[in-house]
Amino acid sequence: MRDDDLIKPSRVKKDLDKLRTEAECLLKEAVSRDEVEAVRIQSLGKKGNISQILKLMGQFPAEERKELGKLANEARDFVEDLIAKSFERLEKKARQKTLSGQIDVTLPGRKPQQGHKHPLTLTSEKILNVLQNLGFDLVQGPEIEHDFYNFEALNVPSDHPAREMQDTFYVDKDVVLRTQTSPVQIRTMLSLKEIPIRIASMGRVYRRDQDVTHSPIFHQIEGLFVDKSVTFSDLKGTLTTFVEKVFSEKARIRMRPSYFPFTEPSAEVDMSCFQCDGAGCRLCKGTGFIEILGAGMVDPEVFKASGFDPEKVSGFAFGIGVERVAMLKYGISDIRHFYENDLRFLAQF
Amino acid sequence: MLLSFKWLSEFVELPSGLSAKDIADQLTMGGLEVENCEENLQLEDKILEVKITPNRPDALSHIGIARELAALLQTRFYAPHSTIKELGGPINDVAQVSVHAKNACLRYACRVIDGVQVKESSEDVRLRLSALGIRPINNIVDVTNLILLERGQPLHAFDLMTLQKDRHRVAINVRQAQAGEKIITLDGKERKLTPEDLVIADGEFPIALAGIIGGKDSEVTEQTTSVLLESAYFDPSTIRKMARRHGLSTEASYRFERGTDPNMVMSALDRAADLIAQLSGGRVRREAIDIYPKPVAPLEIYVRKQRIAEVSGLLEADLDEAKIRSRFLLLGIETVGRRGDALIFRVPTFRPDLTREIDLIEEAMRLIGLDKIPSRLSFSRRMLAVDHAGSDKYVDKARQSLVASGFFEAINFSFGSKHDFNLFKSKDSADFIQVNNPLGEELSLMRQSLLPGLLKNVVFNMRKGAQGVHLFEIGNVFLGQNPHGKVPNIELLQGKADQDAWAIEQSRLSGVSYGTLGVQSFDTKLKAGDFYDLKGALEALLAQLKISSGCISDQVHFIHPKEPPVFLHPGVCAEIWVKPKKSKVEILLGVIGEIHPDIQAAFGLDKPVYAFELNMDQLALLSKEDEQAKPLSKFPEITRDLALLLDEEITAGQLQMEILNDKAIKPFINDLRIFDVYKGPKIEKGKKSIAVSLTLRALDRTLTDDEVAGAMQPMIENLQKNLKALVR
Ligand SMILES: [Zn+2]
Repeated sequence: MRDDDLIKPSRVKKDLDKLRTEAECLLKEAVSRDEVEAVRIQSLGKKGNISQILKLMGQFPAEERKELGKLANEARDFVEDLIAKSFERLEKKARQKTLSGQIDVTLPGRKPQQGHKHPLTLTSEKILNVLQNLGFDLVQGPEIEHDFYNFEALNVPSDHPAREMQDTFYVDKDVVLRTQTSPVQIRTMLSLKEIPIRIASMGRVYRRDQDVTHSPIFHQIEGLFVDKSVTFSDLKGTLTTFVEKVFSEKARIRMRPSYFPFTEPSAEVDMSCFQCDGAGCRLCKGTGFIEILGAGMVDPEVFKASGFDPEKVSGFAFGIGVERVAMLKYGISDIRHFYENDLRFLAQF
Repeated sequence: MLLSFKWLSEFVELPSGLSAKDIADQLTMGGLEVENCEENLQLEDKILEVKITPNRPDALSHIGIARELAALLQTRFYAPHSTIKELGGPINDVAQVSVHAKNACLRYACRVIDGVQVKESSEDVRLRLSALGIRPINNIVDVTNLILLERGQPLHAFDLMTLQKDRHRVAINVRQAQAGEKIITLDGKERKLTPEDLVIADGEFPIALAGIIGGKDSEVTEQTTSVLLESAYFDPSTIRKMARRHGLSTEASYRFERGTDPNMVMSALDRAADLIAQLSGGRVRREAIDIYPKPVAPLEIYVRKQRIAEVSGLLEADLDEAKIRSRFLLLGIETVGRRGDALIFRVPTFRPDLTREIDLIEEAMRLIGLDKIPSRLSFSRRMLAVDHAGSDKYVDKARQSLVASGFFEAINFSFGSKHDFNLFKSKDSADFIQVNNPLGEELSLMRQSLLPGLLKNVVFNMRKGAQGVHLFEIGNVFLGQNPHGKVPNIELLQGKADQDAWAIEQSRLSGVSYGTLGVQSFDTKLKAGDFYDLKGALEALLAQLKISSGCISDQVHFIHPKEPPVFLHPGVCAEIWVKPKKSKVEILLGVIGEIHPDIQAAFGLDKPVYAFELNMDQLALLSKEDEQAKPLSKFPEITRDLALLLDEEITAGQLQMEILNDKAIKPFINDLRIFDVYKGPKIEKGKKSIAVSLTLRALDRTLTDDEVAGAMQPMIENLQKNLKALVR
């Protein structure tokens, strides 16, 4: 390209202007990425127009070269910018197209198969969680139990009228299906031998009883606290907190003297009705209170049977029926629902 | 116990303005729970139904409850007294008593009333008895029941004429029955007696089961003219055992077995005899017979004031001693002295429940009111440092994992029927533990597996129209007797608190899967689950519990057992073995498989059921809380797919083991996935193709193609040598 010598700076300027307008024109009408790409190659590519123009620069004197160089760069920036904008315009247009369709949002979603925990599990988890936060450790014990642990050591000798409070299943002479979780207290005290003891045990218990509110198998949760100078006040405080956390912060408790062979004094614990808040309704039979647990101070005889000196240690124990709590909480009137394992029932929890 | 409000108010001063409802509330809060308070229009009375705990025999009467009320309300109690008009000859002319069973009968008294005219009681009496739950009989028996309700002392009336006499005199004997003796009781039943039975006998025959029920032959009837009226104190435990043995509970036995007051025997007898004479036109013979060789004296109990404070949590300074004493007095508990810090109380014989200091402390707290005791929430500092390591988080995790896999949690009874359980029982397993007194044959055996219960749940739900049933249960099974647990053995508890348990109890986690998987949607088809779906859920669970380390686990092995369990399809079952790190022994965690088609048919199910059963105790031991994180490679991974032609007998597990243990490739393997298994016309008969995808990487550098090829080649050669595997 030796004859390029003839080219004048004004010509170069003209060419740059032309390049700008041409690109602008083409890009404005471009409807595809390919067309834009073609403009880019034509104007800015290795063998494109700008490159051609820049190659001529060498022949001009330094001053003009500087000026023309600036103009050429400006033209390139201008076209590059136009190209970017064109791409953007085309993409936006493409996206716009996808927005025109509409799906039927009312069709049901595809659900993953989900299982459910049993309502009795949910209930005992809640109770045990509260007890664990109050510092009670979980312990377990056998369900088939020696008469000794289930009755004798709990201050219920064999012909004691208190045995009538619990109709018992036997599997052998002096071997029963435990009627309460309390034998775990005895086992724990006998094996630990050291205070303090703060345990909770949860499990199945068995009584020969079957109707709408009684199941021959049900679940109990029991707490035991043994230390130096534990008082009835401590029991009251613990149960107040327990009921607040398990049911509601508004719940209040009421303790009525009662009788359990393994505690003295013993009390039935009522909770202010969570449905009417104590005003009286059908759930609480108009009394404003619902019987919720049994509790008391560990009887000295129980301490003696468990290897502790009742003059040196004291403690309290309480027990709660999981089914009863679940029935109250979920408004279930027939205890048998818990053992039918009907999926339609279980799926509600 | 049913009580007449009117009758109660004869014995206690009731503050005016207190309604029957208020009284009921007072009793309830005092520990005598009133379950019902109903108006009786005929009697213009209110009938209270009170639940009496077994420690309070004294409260099984109107005067007992009245005394309670007086103490609770701090008013006056009007103790009843008895007067008696005696006429006619001395009782010794017609009767004499000897007590041979001295330990079982501490006191025996009687009177004779002559010239009675037996008839229906007045309407008042009949209505009152009926309202209080007792059937009116005649004016003699009704009086004994009135006194029972008023004072709690059971009485019995015999027709004197029917009793065998020796020279016009009846010789009553309180003795043990002889083997072979019989009695027809008032309920018309003939009862065979044993030497453990205590009877009242005349010269020859038993005439009553002591303390429980009288004999038919000596029943008071309209022909009766002379009555022998008995009042006694029988040993509670003797009566209780007898009542149980004969399957009888009467108003009398109910009170005797809880403990009556031996010192009330005479006053109740006199009151009843007097009333009988009045109501039947009879005459009470002079003198009473009263055999009471060892009178029972009231107990004296020391109570330390400080101890009341220690048990209750009340401050010692806040305890009003005078008030406690005066309220105790209303209950008949007298203060008789003081020694040091302790007060000495004399407890009346009608309160057999009060024998220890703690019993009186309870009584004091009851009278103070449990609502007056402050509430305190204290944490011993030592207790807050509890170590929860022993808690069963693994159970929660297992549950969560199965729920996430679509399983519902079931809870079944721990006992079931022989018919169902036998289907699952292998020959060498222990006999089922049997409930001696079950609620029915179908609830008589303790379970050895959770699967029978779960299968029943499947049947139940299919009948209710379910498409698929996927259930799991966590619970104990009972695997026979524990050789160390024949009798309680406290010594054994030092190591583990249940070492001397009578039965071998094991915690299990079982699951069943039947029918379709997943939830139907508008554009997907549901498929029935199979072995691999269940196995997948189980593998996910084991991964959650960190028992398996994910997909290239070399710790968990599913092995086809040599002797498949009887309840599983012999070709579709596996034992799950786990080899913990740093351990040489493999542990059997459980089994998984298809329920045996015979059992499936026995349950009336038309499709295969898949099931697993795991030993939860092993799961607890094997599960891990905090695993160390594995380093991630900063260098890219390379994937190599490989299709291998194998003999049909070679299992995927064998192939996987071979690859994972191959020296050349082992350092680079990050993951191994089987993505295709093919058997069919495209390949030779007796062969199958397994396609595996290997993910390879090095932790310290980028692997080169040459390095990968250099490791793959010897591995392929080894596969060929050891498994006769050919690359397709
Ligand atoms: Zn209510």
